[in-house]
Amino acid sequence: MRRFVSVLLATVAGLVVLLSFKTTPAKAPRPVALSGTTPSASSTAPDSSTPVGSAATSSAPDSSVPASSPQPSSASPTSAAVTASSGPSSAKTSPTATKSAAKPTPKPTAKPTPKPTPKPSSTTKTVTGSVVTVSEGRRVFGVVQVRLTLTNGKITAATAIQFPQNDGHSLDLSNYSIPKLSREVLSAQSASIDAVSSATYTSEAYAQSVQAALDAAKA
Amino acid sequence: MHVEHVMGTVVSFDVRFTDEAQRAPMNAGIADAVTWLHRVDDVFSTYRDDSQVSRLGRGELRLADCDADVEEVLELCAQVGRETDGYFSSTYGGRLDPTGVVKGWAIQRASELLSSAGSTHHLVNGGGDIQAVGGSAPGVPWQIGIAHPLKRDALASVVQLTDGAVATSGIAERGAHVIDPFTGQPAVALASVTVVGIDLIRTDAYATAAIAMGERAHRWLEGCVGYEAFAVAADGLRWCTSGYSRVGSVTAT
Repeated sequence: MRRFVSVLLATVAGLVVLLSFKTTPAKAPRPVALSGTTPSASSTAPDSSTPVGSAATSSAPDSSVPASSPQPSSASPTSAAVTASSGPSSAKTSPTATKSAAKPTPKPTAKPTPKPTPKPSSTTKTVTGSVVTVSEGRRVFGVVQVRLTLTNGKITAATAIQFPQNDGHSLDLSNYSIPKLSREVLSAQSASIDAVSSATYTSEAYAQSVQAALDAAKA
Repeated sequence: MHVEHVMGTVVSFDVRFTDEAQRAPMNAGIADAVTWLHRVDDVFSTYRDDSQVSRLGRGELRLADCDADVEEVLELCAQVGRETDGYFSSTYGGRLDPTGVVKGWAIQRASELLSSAGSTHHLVNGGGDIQAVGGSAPGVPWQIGIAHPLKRDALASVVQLTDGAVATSGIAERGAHVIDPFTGQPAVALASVTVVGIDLIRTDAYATAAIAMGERAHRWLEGCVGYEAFAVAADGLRWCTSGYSRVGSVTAT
């Protein structure tokens, strides 16, 4: 059989990532007055089927929890890990867990708002999407992995940290920056995009496309 | 989610289901679809000298000796050629090259294989050409961004689609320019054309033909019943067919 182990239909995780961008701020466990880049702990997705270890990121197992989702999609064993970066002892956060984790900490920047946002706060998170395996029949063509930075639940940066080269070998991009992904992903996010139609792209172009970021978020 | 490298591009399968019991049949359906796409590549690739299409083009193989799929595709090419007033051509540089129909046809068939496996909500994106079924959930259409051909950081439009196909063509396909078959010159008037319709075979082929048509494309697409289109001209001006607002919205930028 072909390699489908790593390709289970993990749509939930992607929706978690995409939806949590919007829902997280309202449920942030701890209000933090900072915005922009706090020293963000990154976390790797706990994807046991991942064939390639993501050396690009440092695991933060103590502060990452698998996200879960209320979506009607299937539950998935693979999900993106979400890490709050409000401090080294940051509270665990996920769209569901944070409801009970909310604490009545005074909010220095809190203002009454008409929106149903009980705890306006500013947090920065780094989400490392699961590794997307690009298959080619029985063999692995390469992998794509995207890291997102979220501020107040909105993507503020997106970086491809791995993608397959022409020869199918994945390039570790941990020391490189591909900022051009960021604004594209921002556009896609604002429209809750499921997929992107574009003039025919090659497999090389795919690796740097919004579609790849979406796939990474869903894997 | 399954991502497959095949036919010189990357094909993403996004299959949604609610019942865990559907996981195994959905994976089997994806396996069938992937096997199918690789078979299409073996038979139709113009990049492989030993493919049936390459051998047919060199006269080493008769049509009757090829898979029945080859005759079907060549017939589709002929139909689409007539429908596009000859702007769609299944030859390139004098060689037989049905690629312009093969990709849409293959991805449409891959989507049908998923449906046969029981899928009611899925989207197959083959290098930017999309066949979608059932919306992302009951009552929720798929949201499909249209990449802006002139701005790397923007979407030019968003299409809401429950069942159907979206294809976008640009002035350069696989690195080679789209040629106006009547002038022999590269078509440069339109930066990209997106067509929305039921079947990916024609949405893809019509989008390619529209690029070749250039300025004439708007009026021609307006007359294509069942298809709507959105285009970005080389100078950045945008236009769409009169019914496009039913399926898509155009972004502000």
